[in-house]
Amino acid sequence: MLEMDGEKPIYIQIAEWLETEIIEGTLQADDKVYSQYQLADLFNINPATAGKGLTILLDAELIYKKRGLGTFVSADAREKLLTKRKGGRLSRLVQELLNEAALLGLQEEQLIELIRAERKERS
Amino acid sequence: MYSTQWSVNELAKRQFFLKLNANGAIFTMLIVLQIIATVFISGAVTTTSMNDWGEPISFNFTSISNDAQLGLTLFWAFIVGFLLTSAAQRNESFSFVTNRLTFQLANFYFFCTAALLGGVTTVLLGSVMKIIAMFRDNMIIETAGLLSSPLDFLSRIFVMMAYTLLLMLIGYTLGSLIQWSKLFIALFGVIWYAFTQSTFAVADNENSGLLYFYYGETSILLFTLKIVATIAVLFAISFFVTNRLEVRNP
Amino acid sequence: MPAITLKNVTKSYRSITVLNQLNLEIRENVITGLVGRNGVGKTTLMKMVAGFIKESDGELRVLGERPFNSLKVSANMIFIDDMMGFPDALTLGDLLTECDRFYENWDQDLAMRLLKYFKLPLSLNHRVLSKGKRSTFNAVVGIATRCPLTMFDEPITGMDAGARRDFYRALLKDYLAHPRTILLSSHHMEEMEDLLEDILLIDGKDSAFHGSITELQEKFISLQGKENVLKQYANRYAVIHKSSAGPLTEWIVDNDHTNLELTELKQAGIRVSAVSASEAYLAMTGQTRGGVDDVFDAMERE
Repeated sequence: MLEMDGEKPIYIQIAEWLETEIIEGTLQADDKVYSQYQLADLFNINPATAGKGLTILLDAELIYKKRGLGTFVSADAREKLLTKRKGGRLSRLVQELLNEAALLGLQEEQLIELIRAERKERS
Repeated sequence: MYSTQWSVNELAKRQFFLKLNANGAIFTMLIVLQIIATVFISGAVTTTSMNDWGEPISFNFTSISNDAQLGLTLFWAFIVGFLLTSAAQRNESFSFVTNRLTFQLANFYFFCTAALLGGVTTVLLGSVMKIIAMFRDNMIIETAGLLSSPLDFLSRIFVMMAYTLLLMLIGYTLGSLIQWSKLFIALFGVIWYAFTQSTFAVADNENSGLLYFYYGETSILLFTLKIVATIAVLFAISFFVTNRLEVRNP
Repeated sequence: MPAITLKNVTKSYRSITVLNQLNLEIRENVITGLVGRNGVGKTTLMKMVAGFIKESDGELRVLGERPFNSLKVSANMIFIDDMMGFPDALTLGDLLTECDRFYENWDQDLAMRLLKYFKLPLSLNHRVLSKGKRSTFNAVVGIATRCPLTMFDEPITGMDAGARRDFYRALLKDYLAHPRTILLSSHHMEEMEDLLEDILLIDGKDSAFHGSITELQEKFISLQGKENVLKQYANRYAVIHKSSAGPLTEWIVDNDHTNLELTELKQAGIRVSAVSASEAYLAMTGQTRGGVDDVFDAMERE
């Protein structure tokens, strides 16, 4: 899947929502994950689309299947996700930040200053 | 998954009941027509005859007939047959489970029911009129009734039913053909013109002509055969057309 | 086994060909959206599948049978549209009773509850309903019959926004509980696209796209930016559709870019985004905003 700006396809949104649930700890290791039918009902979408969202997580081995019982969160899912988000999503956000900074003609120092100021405000 | 499987018979029956439920107005129409015929068109024709030697004695001969009711019932039958070929009727049937055969059968069952009702009420109304006339005019009734000659009475009901059913199928077949192609309107116009012309031409000879084929028949068995054969032919023609019709197609 | 199979199916009325040599298969227990511009033959296709009209040529199989005059197809299929005829003499309550007599899977309880929710009294007559209410009633019938093959042709005609949302939601919930083959046609694809698994796009008497909704989505991407920038950086992609809203120009192009190329585009200040299935559909059929502008532009030039 290519990285896009703007609104993502629904099944990517589903996958990301589940990932966030795992990162936040709402879904713990070995917890049962929503079935594609539950997800379809929850998000008001076709179950096949919901299934595609689950497949993304299955392919990344973030969840695993137990025959006849359903899907469950892998033990190392949270670890994997944290690494992935740092490497993938965060670096992409940094890229976007740099694009925007270049457009506005900001220097690196000024950018770092902005980040520091923002962090100070939050803490 | 695709488990539902109906027999033609069962579905024709259900479609027939749907038709009965949906077309109660058709029976109301019959009752209204017959009331009109009874109330507004007098069935009694009175002829007064004076004797020719000037004595103050007179005889009133009154003959009673329910020709008006009979005519209106047959007219009603034709219209009903025609109405059931309308696109609306077809669409209503095809909103539910059916194919063209069960649709045609349901229509036929409906005609049989309507003919039964039309036949019985028309003949009974004839009796009612006689009773009214008897009380009103204190006349002597010389006629076949259910009690005096039941066989004759029942055969009149039967004949009336046969004619009603025949007229319905004629209306239905004409209607079906017109639904198939509007060109039939023109064709029927021409045939109607030719028919009326020829009937006038043979008017002085009442024993010939198309209609005499039926009403001139004195044997009830042969009459039945003729009617059944005609109905079968009409049923076949109308089904030939109906079986090809595209439905729910505005 | 596919629920519906068409092999070289053609439908013509006298000299006018509506559908020409159509080949496709509709998968069983899948919700398929049937889309296409006015008059491309969506309704004709559905009515042929329903057995209401006869194919002129080719081989059409529905649930394994030729649908025209098939009692099996009729008993396992329902076709809902806004022209649906019900007898004037029957009330909505009577109609539900008739449905119960004709359809094996009919859920009377669900139908009654839905009618109550949509404020449709059983004592009313179908004829006196407003356009939107009539569509709502027909839609309830379509859901509650639970036919293995359920077809809706423009079911939301006249419905207000709330009723439309409720209809799609009710259909989805009942589908989740009772999976069945559903064909759904509508001009408002953006409202129904989340509900669909497959899309069948009819264009020019033929199928222009048939596949999963995500496949349609991923066929294209949208590039937004200043027109001169787009012309400079994005000129080597097959442009499906161009439109402009305000100062920004949007190109919908074939999605065959590497990540490196995308990064280049982004660095040039071009916004790259995924398109929704309905945007993809509108682009493919030339319905996105700005299309009709060409007509006026051409008039001004002359």
